[in-house]
Amino acid sequence: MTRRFKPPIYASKSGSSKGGAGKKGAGDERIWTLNIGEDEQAMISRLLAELRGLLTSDEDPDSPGSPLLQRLFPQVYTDDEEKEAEYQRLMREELVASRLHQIDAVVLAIGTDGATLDEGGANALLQSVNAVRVVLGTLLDVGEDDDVFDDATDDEFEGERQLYGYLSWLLEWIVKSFQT
Amino acid sequence: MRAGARSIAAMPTTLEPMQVAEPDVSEQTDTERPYIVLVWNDPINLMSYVTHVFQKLFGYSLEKATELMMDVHEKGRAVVASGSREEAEMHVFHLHEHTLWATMEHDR
Repeated sequence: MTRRFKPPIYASKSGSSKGGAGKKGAGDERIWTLNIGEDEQAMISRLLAELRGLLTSDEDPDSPGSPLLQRLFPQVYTDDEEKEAEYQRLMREELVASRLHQIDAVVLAIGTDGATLDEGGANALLQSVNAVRVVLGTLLDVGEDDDVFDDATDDEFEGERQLYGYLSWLLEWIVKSFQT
Repeated sequence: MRAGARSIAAMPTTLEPMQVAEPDVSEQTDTERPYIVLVWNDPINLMSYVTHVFQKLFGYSLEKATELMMDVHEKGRAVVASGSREEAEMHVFHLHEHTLWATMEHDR
């Protein structure tokens, strides 16, 4: 693997950047630069499109065959069925809409070499990349302290394992980018 | 409470009447009882990510957020916030937006 001179994503003050022009205190706003190739960005967009498909599928979330959806929309009230039903009736669609909004913000912003994101876009990337990780991790049945590359005895999910590892690496850098 | 205050005056000076002045929780209605927001351990979410989300959503210091994250990791769960039903639901919603495993229940 080649060593990068810069992390796969990093934040910097927008300074004289045109993107912040006209806004109050624009010079203090941070801009995130995505320092990964177009092919990797295209792969992220494809994964987000798959997540979008999962979120908008008509599958009954309560059917036993949809653990992926259950993980994305967990139970809220563990001891009150009535309040749980009320919450899901009011908020589930809100959560779907929020997730789709994040996905769209990312897909719109990335795809070209040196793509940049504002803070909202960087947050959307943070949330969306993690959502895909969680779906892949659930699919791979990742356990505590599991190294997903250790028990690769069957190759059926080899691709998913690689993607999971890649997204975990990327997410660590996204988190770090907020701390600078 | 007011009735209790009157009885205090009628009683001899001992420590016992002091207990009457304490808040009577049973008088509160169900909706007034505070809720706690719990985050549960899962093997997928990264420790650094969970810490970051706690800081971002609740304004916790790095130390406080790290402590809560370690509680989730080692004890299986942690109370990350508390408040009214509406406040707790809002916190749970934001945690779910970040795909953390959050639930809420009445504070006991």
